[in-house]
Amino acid sequence: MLLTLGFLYLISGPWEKGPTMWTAQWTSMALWTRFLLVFLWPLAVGFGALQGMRDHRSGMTELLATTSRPPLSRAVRTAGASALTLTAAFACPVLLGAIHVHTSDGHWHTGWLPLSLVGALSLVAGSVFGMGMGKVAPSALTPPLLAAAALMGTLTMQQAQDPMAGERIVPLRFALLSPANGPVRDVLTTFSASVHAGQVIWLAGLGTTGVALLVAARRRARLAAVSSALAAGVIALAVLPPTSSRTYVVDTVMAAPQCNGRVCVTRAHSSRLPDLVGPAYQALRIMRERLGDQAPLTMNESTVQPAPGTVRPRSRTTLFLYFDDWSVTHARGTDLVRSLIASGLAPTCLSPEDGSRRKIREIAAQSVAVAWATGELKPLPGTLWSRDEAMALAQPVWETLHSRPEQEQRSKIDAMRRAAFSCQGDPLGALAKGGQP
Amino acid sequence: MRWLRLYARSRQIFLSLPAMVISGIAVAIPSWSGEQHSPDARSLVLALSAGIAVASTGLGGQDVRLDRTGSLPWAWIRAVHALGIGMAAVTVLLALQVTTETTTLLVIGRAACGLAGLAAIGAAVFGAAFAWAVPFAWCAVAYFVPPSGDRTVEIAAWMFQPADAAPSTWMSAALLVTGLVTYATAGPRPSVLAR
Repeated sequence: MLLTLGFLYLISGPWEKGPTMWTAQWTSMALWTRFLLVFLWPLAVGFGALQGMRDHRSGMTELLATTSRPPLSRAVRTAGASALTLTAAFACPVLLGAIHVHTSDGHWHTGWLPLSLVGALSLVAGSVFGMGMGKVAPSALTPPLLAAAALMGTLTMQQAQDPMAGERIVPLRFALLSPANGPVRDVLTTFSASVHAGQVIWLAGLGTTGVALLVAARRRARLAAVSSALAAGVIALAVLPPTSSRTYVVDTVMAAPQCNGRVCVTRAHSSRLPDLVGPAYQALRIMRERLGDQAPLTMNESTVQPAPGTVRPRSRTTLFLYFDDWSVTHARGTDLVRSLIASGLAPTCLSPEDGSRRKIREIAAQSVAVAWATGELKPLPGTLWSRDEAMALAQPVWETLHSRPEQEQRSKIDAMRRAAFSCQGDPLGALAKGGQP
Repeated sequence: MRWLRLYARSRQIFLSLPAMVISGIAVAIPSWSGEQHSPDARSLVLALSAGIAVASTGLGGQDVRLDRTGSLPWAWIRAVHALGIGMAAVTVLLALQVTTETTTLLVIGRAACGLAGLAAIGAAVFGAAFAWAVPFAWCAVAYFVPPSGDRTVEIAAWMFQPADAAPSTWMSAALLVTGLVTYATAGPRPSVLAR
């Protein structure tokens, strides 16, 4: 528990920043706490093995066998005690995260409960399984070997569980057997129900095996216990979804659109809608004045997270919003109007964190487009680090554009929009010299 | 020699060496199977920590209190044992020819020193049966700390930092010295699990 809390609070990483941070929404909180199972689960298994070894190492087995209490009740007691402790320990960071999310603007829904419950179950099942293995092989080497093997398992499977993984070392179906999921990429993705079902079956099988190993006295009973684990594994693999698209589903509750006329956001970000409405309508109006029929009609928050290597979807009739774009999340008032116009006229082809030359040219093209729509050239919000370079590129292009007749300006803007929407060619170059039919 | 053989058997050294080899092989498999890249320093350090954790269960014998009654120079024996764990882990990795880059070797060497010291601290404070948890848990958690030049990160995740990070080297040296001194003078803590 200390490890988990210290990790989440003290170390800065993707879980602390941005819209996917662990205190932002219930689902991302549940998923990040389960991400930490990657090192918590092996530790639980190792300490379980230590616990299972106790009887043998202290030479008590024969003495305990003469007591009248059946071994099952003894095993259940020890397993139950560690189960309670582990569940309480896992519940602490979850509760803390819950308090954070509740006091910030997280939208309440119950979809995250299965995630945390399966996480707690995995800790319990892992430690009981470790106890069983400790009883079977009471050597002092068993706990570290089990823990090391479990860590290697969770590490390789975690890499395969990343929703954005390009190439997976193990098939996704096998990787889902590990309770530790990959890093949270966006707020709206969650696991489908068959994933929960499969994982519960597998973990219940592990737990049962552990209890059976604790109780079993003869070799035949031990083999039967191991076979129960294998059977549970096979059933779980049959239940778990095979492909990535059936594993990671968009959280329908969180992604439900909340609309104010022509401006829609997902329920996850519904608290931002009031601030967004005014600037959004203003931006739509300005674009309609300048572009006429070709202006976007509605503004929607997109629920699609593109796979690595592909660009975000774009449309000429709908302006897609992304809340992980700094220029949208941190701008207010007229700044927000300008960044919305930028997304509407020339949607970006590269990710917000990209810092390459092409991105700077793209920002410059967007700035010139906004200047054409509003009448003056000002830097776009949220582009601090590349602002000077982008302005230096944009200034001469804007001056040339501004001095041309209206007809020619319009055809250059159209050329730029073609380049931006197809993501081929250079939008800034199209502004500078394009437009010749 | 007879004494050495008996000592090794009681401290399960003959069992932990194959375990170290297996963990080294597990990390070296990708580089043997034909892919040209050698395993990066992070996975090597993780394999090292697994090997040291397994060997650290031998830092206390079957009866710690009985061992102490023997008139042997226990402080020296313990210090050599703890150092030997670190050196054996590095030697196993080198023998498997996992890497030839000097920087990676330096990182592995530094990690081995510090982790052996941590294992010795674990044995002195918690007892030999629990000694594996200290280096293992620290490594497992530090593996996920994103790299940055921040000094806190360099000290907290010292085993995974690049070879030229001075605070990490100091941390590793400090852990080694503390571990050796504590373990050599105080010895492993007697616990029921070590019978």
